[in-house]
Amino acid sequence: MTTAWIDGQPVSSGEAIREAAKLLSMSRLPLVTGRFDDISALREAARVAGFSGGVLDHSDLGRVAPLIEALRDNGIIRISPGEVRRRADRVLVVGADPFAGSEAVFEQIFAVDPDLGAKAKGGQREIVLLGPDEPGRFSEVKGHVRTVGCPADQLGDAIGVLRAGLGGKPFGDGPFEEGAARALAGWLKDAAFAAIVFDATELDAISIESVAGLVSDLNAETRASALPLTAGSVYGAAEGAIWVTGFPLRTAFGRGDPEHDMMLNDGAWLISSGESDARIMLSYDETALDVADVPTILLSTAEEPAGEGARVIFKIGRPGVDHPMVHHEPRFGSFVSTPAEHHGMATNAADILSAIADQLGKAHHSNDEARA
Amino acid sequence: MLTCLKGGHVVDPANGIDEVRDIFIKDGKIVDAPAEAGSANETVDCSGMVVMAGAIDIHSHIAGGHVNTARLLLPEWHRAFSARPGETALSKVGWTTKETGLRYAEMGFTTVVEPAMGPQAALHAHLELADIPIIDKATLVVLGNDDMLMSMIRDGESDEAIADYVLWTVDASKALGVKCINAGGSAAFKENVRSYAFDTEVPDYGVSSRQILKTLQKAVTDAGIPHPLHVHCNNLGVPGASADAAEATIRASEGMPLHLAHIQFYGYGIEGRRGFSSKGEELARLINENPDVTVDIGQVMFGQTVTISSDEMRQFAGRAQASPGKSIIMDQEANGGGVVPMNYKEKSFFNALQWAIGLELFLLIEDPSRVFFTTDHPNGAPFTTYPDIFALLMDRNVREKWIEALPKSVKKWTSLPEIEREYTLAEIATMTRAAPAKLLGTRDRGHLGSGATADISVYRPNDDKAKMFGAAAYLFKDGVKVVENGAVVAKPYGRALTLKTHSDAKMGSRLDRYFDEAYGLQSRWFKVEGSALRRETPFREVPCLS
Amino acid sequence: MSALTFRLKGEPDERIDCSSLVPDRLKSLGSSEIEKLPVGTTKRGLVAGDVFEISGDDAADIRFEGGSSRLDRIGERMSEGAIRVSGDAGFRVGRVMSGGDLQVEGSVGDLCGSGLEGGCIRVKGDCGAKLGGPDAGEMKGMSGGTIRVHGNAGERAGDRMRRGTILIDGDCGKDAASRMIAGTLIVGGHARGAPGRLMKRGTLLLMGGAERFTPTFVDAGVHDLLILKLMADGLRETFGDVPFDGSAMRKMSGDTAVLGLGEVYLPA
Ligand SMILES: [Zn+2]
Repeated sequence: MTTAWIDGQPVSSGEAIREAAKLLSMSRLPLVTGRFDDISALREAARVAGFSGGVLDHSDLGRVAPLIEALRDNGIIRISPGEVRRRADRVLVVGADPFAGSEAVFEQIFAVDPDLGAKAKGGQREIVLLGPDEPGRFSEVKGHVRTVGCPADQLGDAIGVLRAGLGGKPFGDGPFEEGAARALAGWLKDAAFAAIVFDATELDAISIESVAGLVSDLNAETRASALPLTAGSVYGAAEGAIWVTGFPLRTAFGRGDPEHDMMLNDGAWLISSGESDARIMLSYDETALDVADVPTILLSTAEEPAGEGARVIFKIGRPGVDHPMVHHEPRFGSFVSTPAEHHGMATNAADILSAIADQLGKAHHSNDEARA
Repeated sequence: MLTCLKGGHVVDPANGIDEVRDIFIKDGKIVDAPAEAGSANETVDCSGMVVMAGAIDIHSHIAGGHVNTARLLLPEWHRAFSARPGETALSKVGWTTKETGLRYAEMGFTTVVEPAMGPQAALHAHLELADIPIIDKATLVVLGNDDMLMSMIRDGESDEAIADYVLWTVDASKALGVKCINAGGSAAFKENVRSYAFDTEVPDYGVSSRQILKTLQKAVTDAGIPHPLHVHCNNLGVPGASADAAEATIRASEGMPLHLAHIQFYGYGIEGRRGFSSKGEELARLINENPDVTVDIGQVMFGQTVTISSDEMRQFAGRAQASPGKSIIMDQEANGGGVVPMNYKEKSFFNALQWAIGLELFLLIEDPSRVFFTTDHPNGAPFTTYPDIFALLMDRNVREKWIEALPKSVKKWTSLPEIEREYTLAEIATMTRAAPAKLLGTRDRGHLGSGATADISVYRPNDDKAKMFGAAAYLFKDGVKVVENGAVVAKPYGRALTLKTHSDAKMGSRLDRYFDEAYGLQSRWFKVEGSALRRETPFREVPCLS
Repeated sequence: MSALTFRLKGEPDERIDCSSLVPDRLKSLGSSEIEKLPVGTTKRGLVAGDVFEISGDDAADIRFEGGSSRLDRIGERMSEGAIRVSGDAGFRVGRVMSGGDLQVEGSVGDLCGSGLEGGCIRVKGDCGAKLGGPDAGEMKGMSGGTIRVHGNAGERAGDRMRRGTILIDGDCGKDAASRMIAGTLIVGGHARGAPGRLMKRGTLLLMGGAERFTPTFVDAGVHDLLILKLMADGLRETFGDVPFDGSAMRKMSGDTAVLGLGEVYLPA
């Protein structure tokens, strides 16, 4: 079975690896990107970026960039979902449907009543949905659910109003009238343990900073904590990149040491501006991609990998299906390993990336990072 | 292949050796001198140099969720931050996994223990450790704020059941030992308790910090885990209450081994108009009188750093002093924790006295095999400050110079200027090699006897001890030369040292149900699979005490 | 002595790091050393001589001729002398500059004047996002000096600004003066988004009004304040012309989600 192609012609994987390494080493600033669902692939991709003097990015990083910005500019008091499940007697859910894409976390938290904490246990959870007019997926959960309508683009304002209300400061007409705002702020303050849940991919950085500020203000006297949700693999990939490179992706190795820049190292920008002249991409898309813009090495799970114009193609297995994977599990708040669903011959993208990195490393740094 | 390190001054207190002699290496191990002199394939001239076993750091926060959060929180301190030329705060620190390995190796360290791995962050921690080159690593898994343990104590479950739970956790997380951090404090903080001490009960559980600690101490001892329970006491950093907590904990050791971490942060009294004074002498005396207790220091050094701790209550309180003014606090199952940046200033009375208290403890605790060399990296200072600390311990004149630069008011409050002791090379080797290996139960290292793992550091003697210990002349890891003249020349990967144990199947199925029903989590998520780490030899097992 | 001039040989195909090409650094270097200064950002290792035709010898008067939006970090950390760019410039122009004079004839990218501590920056064209703002993770933006942008500014101009003055003649993008700590930001045109979000203190003058304010800004009425007249006089001395004269203006106070001591002035 063919698993590697150069210019559409079947080749051995060894040939394809050498060709990929050659292409990357000849490139001025190769982009190493894609969707790194498997942290093993991300760790190896970082080596590829390092040895080829490229830029490491993730195709979805833009979704979590506001969260990253708010975390490192301001900080936060945050909570894991398992602890919300057991302890939070009052939950403020911000946004129309922040659990879209995070259904397992929704199930984990709201399937049961809180059972820890002298004041919280034995009672039912109170849930306020700030945003939607209808309870939606919350119509079936345990606990008392109430909605407070708020347009999506005014959620940050609403959080600001709650903060002003909590602090006894003046504020004007906003998403809800003054009495309701002060009452909601008081409701949070009187919780045994309040949790504020939001979709971090839907709020801008200042709004996330506002949520963090509200939680911080509440903790002056009571306990409260924030739970940012980020559906998909990108937050885990950013976590992995942080320990390997020091930064949450968008990191360049053109000058050797890692250099991070959310704007200048944005992969899409690098390709469209012409600053990157080659790309290696990990794709789980089943549909053909148009990658004719720059010479591309494509690692694809597609049944018949077809990258329109890709120079080198590797067919790879699906992580967690065809081979084991390591990924960030939001319910756990950390990394877990998942075995393959079946034993097959499919190639692990991490192994391909590793072989390319080794090939590049051989050329540039003879004694560097021997894989022990 | 036989390698000879020829003619060095070998300082190997574990084997009672302090003399010029040759050391031979074969297949990654230290071997006896061959019968035929000159049969070595390779000879490294060590004449005039000091040869010791590779150094061991028993308490340094180098990996895991909280450490990574600190990296996330502080991009502006990264050495190569794009818009920052030259030096930045923490610029010398091993901020990435790779730099961590390189910087430790350059100083002659070969084994480092990450002391605060949450059971849930175990795979994360091991993934990071797997990416740290050269050195061997180990972890201590954190218990003592977990619902399971506190419930078992409350419900009066048997010692055996509790030991099974502890061993399941150690086994799943691939740890070498167990740490207990402000026992019950994080759980109490979740109930909005803001003041907590050794005999305070955790609300809703009705178990005290003392009960939790004593239960874990017994479980660890009964299970034959070589490293004694590693304790982070209550009320860290709180003047008065910290010293009380340390004293109460030491007295509670009751003839069983106990290790108290970063004791410096507990040496604080309340005298003087600033309400901050040294309890260093009293604490040192208490430690000298209690032979079952070991401590590490957690020395403070001046400059920008960041505190990383699973003591959520303490880190929450510390937010007020955050510099720069941002922090991340985590409420999680069990301990949680927090990351709070800190800038220790030489000109601050408080910080200067913290520095002095650390050195008082180092110098007044008499037995170098019961006091360990740490800064609680990065909490007291980054580990890259170690060379300066060696100089402070070994050279009274260096101490005098540092003291001169402190605020005058500090001198009145510390006995440090009167202390004449200077650590000898043999004492340094005991504190950083022989004793840590014994404390951790890793008998293959910390000494240069036949059969030991060939982790060997070679230093060029220098009156400036900071220069001497800052850059190893050579470092051999598993017999391979990895450092030459202070620079890394090879980057093989080491492994994580794990406890050779097994977990009880009944406890396993009980925990399968428990994690699912209580938290909606799968118990298999807590288990670290070696294959997930992508290293040929991810682990080396260390046996339990029989 | 003639101006030390860096004439661009052609549009560079990678980002160029010009942070070493500042008076402080160049005054002690000869022309052959200057040519060898690394400026590239890729593994090609470009040096100044690869990118620029270098002439002149007065390092206190530096010129970039033929600008490019890829020339980053021009004037970074400069403390003295003058830099003039006859064209566009890239990101981080005048970042953490503490003195001297920096002028760009064209437009500049993001983070112009980031963390500015002193000195004067003038941009004839437009500027990108976070004018005067902090870089990732930094706790303060501009802490001194003056910036004038004759064109339009991007999003979040004056973010975390702590001191100094920014004058934008044109419009500004979303959420100007976000997280402002103190200082003065004047916008001649229209302010998009909600200016002043999470501002603690500081003064905003929005001559073309704002798209909206968050509810945590409270109308404080129309004021005819002497301080506005004094401010206009003072700024005229710095900038020459300013888009307000000190006549009566409407005042908004906020952001009450935080400290709430910021002042926003709008045409009455
Ligand atoms: Zn510690």
